[in-house]
Amino acid sequence: MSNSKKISSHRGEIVGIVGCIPKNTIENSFFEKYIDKNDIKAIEKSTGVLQRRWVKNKNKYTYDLCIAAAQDLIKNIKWKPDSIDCTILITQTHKNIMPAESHVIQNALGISKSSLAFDINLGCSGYAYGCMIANSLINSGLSRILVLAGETPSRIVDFKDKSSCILFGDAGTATAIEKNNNHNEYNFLFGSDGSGEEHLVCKNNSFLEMNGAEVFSFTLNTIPNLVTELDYEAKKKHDYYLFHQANSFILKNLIRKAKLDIFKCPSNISKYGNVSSASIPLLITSNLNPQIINQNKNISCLGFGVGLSWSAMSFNSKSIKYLNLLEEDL
Amino acid sequence: MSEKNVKEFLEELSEALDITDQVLEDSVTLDSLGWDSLAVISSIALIDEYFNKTVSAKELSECKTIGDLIKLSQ
Repeated sequence: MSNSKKISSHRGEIVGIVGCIPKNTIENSFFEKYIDKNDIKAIEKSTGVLQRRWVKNKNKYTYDLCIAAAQDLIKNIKWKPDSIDCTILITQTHKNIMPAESHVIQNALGISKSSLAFDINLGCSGYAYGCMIANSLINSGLSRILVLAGETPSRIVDFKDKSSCILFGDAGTATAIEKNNNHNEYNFLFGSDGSGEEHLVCKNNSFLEMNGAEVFSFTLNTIPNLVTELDYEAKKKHDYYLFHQANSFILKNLIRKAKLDIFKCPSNISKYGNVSSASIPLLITSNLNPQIINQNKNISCLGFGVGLSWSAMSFNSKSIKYLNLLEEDL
Repeated sequence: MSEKNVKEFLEELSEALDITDQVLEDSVTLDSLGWDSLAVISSIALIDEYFNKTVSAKELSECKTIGDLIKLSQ
């Protein structure tokens, strides 16, 4: 029996994605000031994270990464800012509690005041949510939507917490979703389990806390079935299975349990770490550019984590005309 | 649960925990093996792989010995 809510849409399609990472590279040796060297080696072996990018400038935030990504995206797909109907930001690392920082992005990009802007408070499962809501809004009459997914976990990790500090990186992404008449069907699956809320949490004015073993158990229990379910709903095997880049131990076990070909499951965890909601769009820009641009490739995206929450999205990449990965001195 | 599975599971666990010099009999306590968060995660993965059962960290935390671990896997 399915444990996920099914949604499908064929009115909107992704036309471009840009990822933006800070130039500032943090190697694992950075943590030697805080954690025993042998522990770092063991965590490096298990997580597969060798380095990550962190915002250097204290006055730069998640939205700065997303704005840089969006500026490059709309310029290259030739969207005038005043043609954009809606700005959606998926993040859990805001500068301020309010206002919703999609408004900061809307203003910085010069997007019309006659548009929607709102934030979605989700982490690693958030990307499919953003794309599903954009598709639903297009189905309701909008034409062009920007979905931004970004995080700066470097601001909320405790350098002395060996279970989490090595894992996370900063990144911002922008995805352009446009009304189409090509019947490019998008299939989505979503699920939520708040009984696991304490396993991944960041309390007010505090550091991120993670019970890695419980998150791993949840993932192993939920995501392999989600892979099968999405193949079934989309009525196809996919050319690529893009997992949220949680850590290499989780990825290895998911690929094993879901019986997938490792070559269909690209990974960038060693270079960028776990960048939460930005993980899947960043993976597309870092590992699938240019091979899916305008190509008839079936893509499966699988997100899971904080909530606990999971999501899946199936789409065809034929509509994608632009992908790019930027490095910015932020 | 076959004996072969148990044997292979314990061999893999020894390798994962870097304790291949120790004999993992039922009575061996997990504490004596330097049981830590990585050991817990490795056990969840190996129980899933060898016994097709996904256990929670909470269930694992109630195990005191290798024998308890094998029992939980059944």
